[in-house]
Amino acid sequence: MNRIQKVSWLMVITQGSALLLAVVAVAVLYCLFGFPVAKSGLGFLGIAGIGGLGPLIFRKDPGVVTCDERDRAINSTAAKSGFGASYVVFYLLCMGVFFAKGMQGMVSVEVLALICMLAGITAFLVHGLTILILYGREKANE
Amino acid sequence: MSEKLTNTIRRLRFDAGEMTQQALADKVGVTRQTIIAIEQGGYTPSLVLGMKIAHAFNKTIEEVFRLELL
Repeated sequence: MNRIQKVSWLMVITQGSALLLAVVAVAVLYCLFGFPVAKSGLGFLGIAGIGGLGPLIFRKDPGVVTCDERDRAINSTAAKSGFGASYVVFYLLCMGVFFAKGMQGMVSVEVLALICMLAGITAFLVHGLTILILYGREKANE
Repeated sequence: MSEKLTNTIRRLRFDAGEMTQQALADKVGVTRQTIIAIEQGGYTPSLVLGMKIAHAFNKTIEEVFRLELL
């Protein structure tokens, strides 16, 4: 497993955990205490930031060549997938709020930040998953 | 019309004094994983990389890679 795969694993685990824990926490808190208190469950999204430590944790691969054209191609495909997915999530969330609130509706500004954060988490999650899938697909043939 | 790119890299490695995948990777400037992926047909190398691989075996690119039109 090369460095890119290790960083991707960390990214998938942290982003996935952040999303899962946030959803569970909000749901539990909502059931117990109602909506204003339930928003505090979104604090679990901060776990996603740990994924950024990946390049610091995992050192450079040994050997002369650490990243070649295939690695760059896989990374490029993954980046495009991540961006595309985050764009879809961002669009759906924005339109979801619009349809929920209507033309004259108003939302708190924190909703904007939340939408951006969810889109960002989606980008990194899909990026990491795509990298693992593309490397794993070839590993199956080794 | 579909196409399939095959190669004889594995055989050429053994014919070249049982060259290892790592040795070939170092020679052409890629990782061993990439050589594995190329041999297994999981990755299509760029033209430059393909020519480097052929040059590493003192062969022409057509002797190393073959495109089959199915």
